Amino acid sequence: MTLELSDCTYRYGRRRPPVLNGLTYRLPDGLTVLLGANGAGKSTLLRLAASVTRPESGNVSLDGLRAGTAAYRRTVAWMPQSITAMHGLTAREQVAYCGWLKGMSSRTAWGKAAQALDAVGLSDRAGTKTTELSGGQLRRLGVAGALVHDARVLLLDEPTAGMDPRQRRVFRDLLNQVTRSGVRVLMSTHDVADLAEEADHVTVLVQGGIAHSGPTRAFLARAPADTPPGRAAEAAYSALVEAASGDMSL
Amino acid sequence: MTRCGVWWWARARRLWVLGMALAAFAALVAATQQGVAVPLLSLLSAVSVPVQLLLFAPVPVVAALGWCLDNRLPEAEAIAVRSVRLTDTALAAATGVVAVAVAAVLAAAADSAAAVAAGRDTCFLVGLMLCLRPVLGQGAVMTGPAWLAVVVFFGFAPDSALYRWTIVGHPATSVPSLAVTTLTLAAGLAVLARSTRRSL
Repeated sequence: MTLELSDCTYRYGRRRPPVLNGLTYRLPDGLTVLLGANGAGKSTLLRLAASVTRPESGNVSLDGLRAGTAAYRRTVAWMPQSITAMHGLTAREQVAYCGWLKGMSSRTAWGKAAQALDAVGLSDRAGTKTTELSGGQLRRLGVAGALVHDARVLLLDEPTAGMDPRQRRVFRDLLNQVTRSGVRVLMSTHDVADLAEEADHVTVLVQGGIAHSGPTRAFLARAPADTPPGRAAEAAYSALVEAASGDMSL
Repeated sequence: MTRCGVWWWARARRLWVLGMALAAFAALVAATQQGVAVPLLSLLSAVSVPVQLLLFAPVPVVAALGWCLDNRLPEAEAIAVRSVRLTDTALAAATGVVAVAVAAVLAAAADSAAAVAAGRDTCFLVGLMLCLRPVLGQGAVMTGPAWLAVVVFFGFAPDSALYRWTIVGHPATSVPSLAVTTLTLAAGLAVLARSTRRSL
């Protein structure tokens, strides 16, 4: 299951500089954490991979399936930064609606919705109106909506924002469980210290280009030798960004 | 009744609001089809002209339809396999059909063709609103009142007759109004059916 972006360029408006400029990327196995400053292109990369939008040039494909086709969309799930709470729908109904939109039968979607809510620790809120959920619960609802249709590639845009430490722990356990089942996960986050060390791979975006993409061990090796214990991920990220920014300014 | 996909779609769109708007439309048409008019100032003719209240009957339907279509789950619908755009288009078409049917029934009951014109005007304003949604976004719900305001202030000739460009307010037998309405509604439905990935 190989998701690839080939030579993709994307810009928001014709006169604006490209957010992604000729980016080529292949999503590796397991959990990949996508790091980068605000505006580096993380969300844009995820949106292109999710087929929400098309690149100005270049291709996005998954094992030969072109982005935007029904088969592609059945295989890929996406959770954006902002999650909409549908007025009138309960948490279970909203997740089931997401599954139905992905082509599942209503009955299957309804059953899977309960499982997805259970997986994110929201089963006790299944009957609650989505407008009554807290910010952290709404993000977990978004994750459930992404998980409901058994996608093989999961694209998560800052899923842990607004979660408390315990919820993050539960979420990391969930991600481990998902990746063990063979699902590839690409997740953007600002939470460098907390998540990067647990990922299988780390990708760092700087100014619309890939500054680093490789196993976590190789990423952590970029940290300076005098880095205090427990700060390796932050130090490695800073070193990479500084090096890449320096290269680009030359 | 929680295990039906279309039901979830209907709940997400909050179609009960559209149902109430259609009921309000029926009540307004029934109450005003016999020729209830209020004097309003026309800016072009600079005189007060009698404006039929029936002219305003489509407003709740057009606004409610636009509002319902904006009640979406954009992140999930943007990458859906099922095309809810087609369901939305069917909803818009059905709204026009129901408005015309309600108006026709009321017209038959009162033996007055004026109500039929309200149904046609609803279809025109629905089509106009749908055409403008990609540009105006949620502001398109104001299309109906805005068009009617333009008609009231600028649409009356000095002899208090409506100009042809107003489309709305003409008799039910007006062929030009019917033709433009048909084209506008068809264009609006086509725009809705082809619109993609907004508001993300």
